[in-house]
Order: sequence, then C-alpha cells, then structure tokens
Amino acid sequence: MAGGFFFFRRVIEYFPKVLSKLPVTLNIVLVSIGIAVILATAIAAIRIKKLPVLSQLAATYVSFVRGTPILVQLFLVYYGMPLLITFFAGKNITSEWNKLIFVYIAYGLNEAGFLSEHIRAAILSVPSGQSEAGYSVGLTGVQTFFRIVLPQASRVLIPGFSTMLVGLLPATSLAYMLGVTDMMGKVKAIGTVTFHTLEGYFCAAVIFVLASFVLERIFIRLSEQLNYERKIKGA
Amino acid sequence: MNLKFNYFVECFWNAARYIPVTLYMAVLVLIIGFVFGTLIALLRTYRIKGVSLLMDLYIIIFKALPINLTLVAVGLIFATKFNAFAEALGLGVRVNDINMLYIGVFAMSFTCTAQLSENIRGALISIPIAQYEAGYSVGLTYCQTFQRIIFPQLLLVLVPSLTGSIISIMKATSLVILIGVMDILNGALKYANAAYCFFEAYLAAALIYWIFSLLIQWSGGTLERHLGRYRKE
Repeated sequence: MAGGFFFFRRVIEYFPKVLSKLPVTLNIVLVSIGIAVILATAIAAIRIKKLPVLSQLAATYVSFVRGTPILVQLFLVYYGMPLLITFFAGKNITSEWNKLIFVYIAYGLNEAGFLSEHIRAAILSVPSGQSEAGYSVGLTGVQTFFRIVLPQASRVLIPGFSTMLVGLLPATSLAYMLGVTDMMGKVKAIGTVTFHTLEGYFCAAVIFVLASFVLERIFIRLSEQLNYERKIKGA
Repeated sequence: MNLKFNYFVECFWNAARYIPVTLYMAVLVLIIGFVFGTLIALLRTYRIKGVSLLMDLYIIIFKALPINLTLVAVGLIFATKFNAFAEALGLGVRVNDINMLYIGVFAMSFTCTAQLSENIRGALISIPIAQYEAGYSVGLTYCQTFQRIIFPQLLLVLVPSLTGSIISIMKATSLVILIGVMDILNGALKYANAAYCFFEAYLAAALIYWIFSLLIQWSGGTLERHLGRYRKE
C-alpha cells in the first residue's frame, strides 16, 4: 500500500473534495437533533409526570441508549428497522430506503436518550415555587410551563445541549459504515481510487476541528445572550 | 418477527468470550488517560506559561476529532511506517509482532486523555480558593491542605463525571473493529458472518455492553454515596 507517504500537495488537492461533504455531516447533525428534541421532550415529560409503565419503559430506553456504543445502535437500527417493518407492514425496505434515513433514526434515537436527561434535569432545576407562583396568579398548567418554567429551564439546558451538539459532530462520522458518503466516506472513496488516504484523513481532521470550534463559539455567544442576570449586573 | 433466539444465544456466548479483551483495553486506556489527563489538567489549571497554551490546543483538537478517524489514521501510519521506525531505532520488532490491540489503545488514549483531563480540571476548579486559604490559615502546608481538605472534596465532584467517562471509554473500545481487533462486538460478528444473523449479533453485543455500563453506573453511584456520607444537605 502506497498510502504511507504524506504529501502536502495532495492535502491541498483533496481538501475541497472532502470539504464538499461537510454539508452531509451537518445535515445528519441537524436532522437527528430535530428528531432527538421531539422524542427527548416526550421522554422527559413521561419521566417527570411519572406515568406508570411508560415511565419505566422510558427509563429502560434511556439506560440502554446510554449504555451501548453508537456503532452497535447504528447497526441495530439498520438491521432491525427492516425486520420490524416487514413484520408489521409486510414489505421489505432494506433496498428501498436511503441509507441516510437509518443514520438519521439511529442518531436521533441515540441523542434523544442523552437529551432527555438534560431536559429532565433542566426542568427539575426550576423550583416548584415558580410553578406555584404561576398558578396563584391564575395561569393554567400549559401557560405556567411555557411562560414561567420553560424560559428558566432553557437557560440551564443550553450549556449541556451545546456540549451534546458539538460532541455529535465527530460522532456522526460513523455514518460512512452504512455506506453514506460523508466526509469519512469521501476519504475512503478517494483512497480506493488513488491509494492515498492519510492526506484525506488529515483534511477531514482539520475540517472537524474547525467546524467544532465555530459551533462552540456560536453556543458560547448564545449562552452569554441568555445570561440575563449577568447583563443586569454589568449594566 | 424473524428473530432466531438460538442464534442470539450463540452470538452472546461467542461475544462473551472476548469480554476480557474489551475490559483490558478499557482499563489500559483509562490508566493512560488518567495519568496524562491529570498532568494536563494540572498544567492548565495552574496556567504554566507556554505549555498550558499547547495543552489547550491539544484539548480542542482531540475533543473535535472522531475516535474512529484517529484510530484508522494511527493504524495506517503504524502499518506503513513502523518497520522503518523500528529499524532506525535498532529494535528487533516488526509490524506483525505487535498486537493491533495496543495500536487501538494508543490511538484511543489521545481522545480519552482529553476527555478525562476535562473531567479532572472541572473537579479542580470546582473547589473554591477559600478552601486552600482555610487550610493555610490553620497552619497546614500545601501538601497537607491538598491531601486533607481539597482531595476529599475533589473526589466527590470527580466520581460522577468519571463514571460517565469510564462508560464512554468502554463503549468507544467497540471501534477497534475498524483495525481488526477481536473484541466483544467482533466476537459476536464472527459468528454472524457464518450464520448470517447480524441483527441478533448486534443485539447480543449490545446486551453485554449494557450489562457492563449498568455495573459501572452502579459502582459509581455506590462510591459517590459512600464518599458523600459526611456531606450535609
């Protein structure tokens, strides 16, 4: 294998090619976070309300997702979803569905497990006196939640959420194992044609570091803007 | 559903045979990560000039890099460069003499060092300076203060985040499949390749990882309760 030699000229040549797949990675991050937010909110609500049976199921689910590698979960979805759908709908979807859909679902399910714990902690961090204060002025349960509890909880949620999102960026690099052409998949594809992969990995590494850095900056800005108390103190 | 239980059981026992490999890797990575992580955390917390900036850069890079990327890149460099490197040093070992397991451990240590150092640094800066000052004010030396006042408090903050990191390290070891090491996941898949029962194989591997995660979680919780028994609410 002639891949051991590292030439900077090739880095420059491959960089635009690898960079062109960054949107795929960002796409996976955004869609799976979208799925995760919806699912995690439901799980958190179930666990806070302590609904019988559902609450235990949710707790088991969260424990499973947090306790098994994402690589295993990815393939469980990839092999398991077709089995489930064949069983319920009676048709085979393995070849019909885009591989990206399995990736979305796997990462969405995975992040939902982690995010639900963040959401739960954030909502529970708001003292119950706050909800009681809402009720005492005649707000309904829904109004109290959206106007009193949620704004306070979101401030607690943002740091954990941003760490999770920044962590998801490198985590999605496993998607290429299902045959999705993301940045790692592109590096592999370049490698099969030219027999040079190390330069491609270097490009991917640079892009990952820069993208994480930018994403982290954005969230630091956001949490500074949400930090109302400090603003008042500073003024 | 088309799920064969006997395949699942077969995969489970095939995977279970490799539990020691996964645990061995996780423990090695944990020890390496803990030693270097502590070092980096100390350098960054006490802002040693020059070095701490370099360490900041290290943390930023390895927090952003996917472990699988580091793993394949290190594996590739090792496979192509190690012979020349060993020859230059006059060593008798060659690529084929070295178990890929250690290459996996080496590669994973980079990321896990970064992760553990963040945990340790978080614990270090969570102790207010007043605690050190209180120690000095009653005439304790720095070492005494650290050992008797700071460390017990530090441990209590460190244990929960460390538990999470240990679990994530154990889960990350499943990636060594990329460089061909036989671990829990690969053991399950070895059987699946013959019997063509991939879903059962992944389910069996998941079950084993889950059991170990629960065990680690439980031990962490017990340790935390034990350490926090004097803490007043």
